[in-house]
Amino acid sequence: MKLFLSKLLLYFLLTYIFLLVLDFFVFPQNTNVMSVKNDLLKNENTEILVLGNSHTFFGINPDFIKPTTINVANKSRKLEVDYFILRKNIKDLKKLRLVVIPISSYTLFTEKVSKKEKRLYYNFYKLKEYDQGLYYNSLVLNESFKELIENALFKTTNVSKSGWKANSEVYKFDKEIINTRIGNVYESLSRKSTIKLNLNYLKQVIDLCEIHNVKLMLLLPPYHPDFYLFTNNEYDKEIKKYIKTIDLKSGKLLDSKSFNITEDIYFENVDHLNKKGAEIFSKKLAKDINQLFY
Amino acid sequence: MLFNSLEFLLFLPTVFILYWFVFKKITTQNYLILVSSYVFYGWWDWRFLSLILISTLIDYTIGLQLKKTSNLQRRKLLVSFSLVFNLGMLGFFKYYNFFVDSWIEAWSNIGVTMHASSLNIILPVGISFYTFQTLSYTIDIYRKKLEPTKDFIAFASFVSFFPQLVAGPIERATNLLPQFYKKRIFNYDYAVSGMKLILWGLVKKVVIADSCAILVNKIFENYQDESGLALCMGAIYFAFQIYCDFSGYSDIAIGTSRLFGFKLMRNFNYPYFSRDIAEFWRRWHISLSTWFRDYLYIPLGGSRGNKWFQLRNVFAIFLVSGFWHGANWTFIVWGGLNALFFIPLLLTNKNRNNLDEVASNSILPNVKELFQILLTFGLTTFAWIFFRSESITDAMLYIQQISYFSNFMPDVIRHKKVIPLLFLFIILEWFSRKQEYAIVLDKKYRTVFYLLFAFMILYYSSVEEKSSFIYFQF
Repeated sequence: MKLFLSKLLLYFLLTYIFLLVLDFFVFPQNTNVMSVKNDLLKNENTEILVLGNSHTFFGINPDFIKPTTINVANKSRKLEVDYFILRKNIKDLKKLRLVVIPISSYTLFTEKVSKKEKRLYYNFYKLKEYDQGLYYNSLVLNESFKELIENALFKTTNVSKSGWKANSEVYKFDKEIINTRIGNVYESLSRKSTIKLNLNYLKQVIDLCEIHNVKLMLLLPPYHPDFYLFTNNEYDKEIKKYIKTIDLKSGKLLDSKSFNITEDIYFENVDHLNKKGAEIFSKKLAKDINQLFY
Repeated sequence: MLFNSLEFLLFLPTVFILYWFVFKKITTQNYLILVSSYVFYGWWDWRFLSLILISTLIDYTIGLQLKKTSNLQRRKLLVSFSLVFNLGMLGFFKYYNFFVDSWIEAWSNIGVTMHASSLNIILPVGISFYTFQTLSYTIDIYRKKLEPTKDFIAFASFVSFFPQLVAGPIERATNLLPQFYKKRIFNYDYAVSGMKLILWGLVKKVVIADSCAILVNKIFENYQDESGLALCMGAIYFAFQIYCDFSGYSDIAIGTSRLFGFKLMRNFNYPYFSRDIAEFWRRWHISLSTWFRDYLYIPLGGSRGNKWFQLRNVFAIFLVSGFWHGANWTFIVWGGLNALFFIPLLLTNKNRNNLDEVASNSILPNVKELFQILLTFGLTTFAWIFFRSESITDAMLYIQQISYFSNFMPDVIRHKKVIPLLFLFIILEWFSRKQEYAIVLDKKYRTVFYLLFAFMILYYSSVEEKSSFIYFQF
């Protein structure tokens, strides 16, 4: 029994050491969408910082704005995370002049940050606020080992150098899909405590920008006309109602509807722009940024 | 609880330590096995533990009653009750909806509309396995091949023994039950071989079967849009998926049992190196094949009587075997096809031709053997198409689509990750075919190989999306 257990322990120990090395030294350095964006934040020349979720990730192509613009938005990101990222990096971004944050269902109405999201932001954005202890922080115990290894070995990401990506799919009307997406949005409107929490984070973002003398643009993302049609503009009104309750200070609210981008060819789905849409939207946004902040 | 889960990774060493270091007496060890087995099963759905308990209580009582009486009528009645109860339970949970739907469809074919409601029945995991196991107990006592046990804990542990509870091997009471009466002594070599079997079983399941499953699911779900070559490859991948999935589970089950000093029967013996269908069935799911042989084929007359009787018996055993796998006509056709492949051998008295090891005195098979192996593999793979398809129509369309030769376009990119894996797997199995399992390796290299296998298991397993074993559904 002793021999069996000692040999077994030896094998497990070897495997365990190997995994520990991967978990602490290799996987957190992986090249994936998050770590690439975190690296972008190290560029001290950054003047315009785009935060947020998929609306800005796909919708704003920094190449059409200014060469000193970076897009560090990630899919499904909550406002709380944006605030922590900004708080961690704002001091080091000495030339930062403007922060762009989308105000959409994900920023105001979504639930708390999940354990998985915390783990990813802890490991790849190095956000200490999301330290959940050894087990939940561990990538090797909780994420796909295959993906982690492939990320470590092949180091491939499909985002541009400034952190943007979008696909070329063109919007197709599908009532069922629209209803599902919009249904989720409506359901999220009832989460009063979450909304309160997120508004509080928004206030902290505003204050942080004020303290560091950085301008803030709150962006109501571009939606396909079907979105407004199916929601009777109620969703829009709700957001504006909440925004009115807080003091934006020197921040500006920009409604993307004013850009009048309505054709199907610019949208991937009812609430996301595609590649073409991102180009036209980013060009129009660049004009507004120049007028409002430069 | 899945063998390829983190829970099991914690569960197994905990039970192992308690078993060898805390509960050293046979009775307390049996108690521990029983509790652990119920925890293992209840992890999936605790409500169905009641079925195992009822089945255990009934067959335990029937066993004791059979011992008490020598009256043949009464003995027949008792064993019939066991059969009706166990098969009735299996029939209700597994086949109720199938019979109701088939009944309605049969009447509708002649223009009669029938109304009967299907029930939303959950199939209890492993029910086909443990009901057959308890049946073997009562039948063997009835046949006076086995003495009934008075030790309820030993019997309940035998019925619910966690390594093989949900997907076999289907153990005979004559083999496994007596092991619960004897003191188990830790044996180093036996435990090491158990660990090797667990490791190899996980490689088969996680690396080979799950890699094949990704392509198999895509190809079988979209067969209308696939090329003929892709469909052929899909069927071959499924042949390896089901083999590695099921034999992988059996290896882990046998290996786990060895850690506790139990010896389970072998369930697979390199079936894809068989030279004919008869040999294939001597090497595939051995515990089920021999169960049907002993409790169905031989009672029906077996190979005695004229050829018609033999044919009837062969068809019966294959059709029942197909039906055992699931409540769908696809499984019955699968069984029927295997019977059809077997019959020429029976009629020409060649069904026991290949009892020896293939290429027993050479490294590679000769041309004849290679042809026989490929033909047998081709036939079994053809039958697997029915086994995997959702319906008979799907299977027929799948086969029809393969036959469009103009559609035979090479499609290499999708397959480049799986084909080398299968190639390596076949080579490893071929050179190990005379051994009990495929990773009996040279002392010099084995540590490297074991660590490599461990790494491969980690690499191919996705913690968040563990796939369960195919045979759980049966």
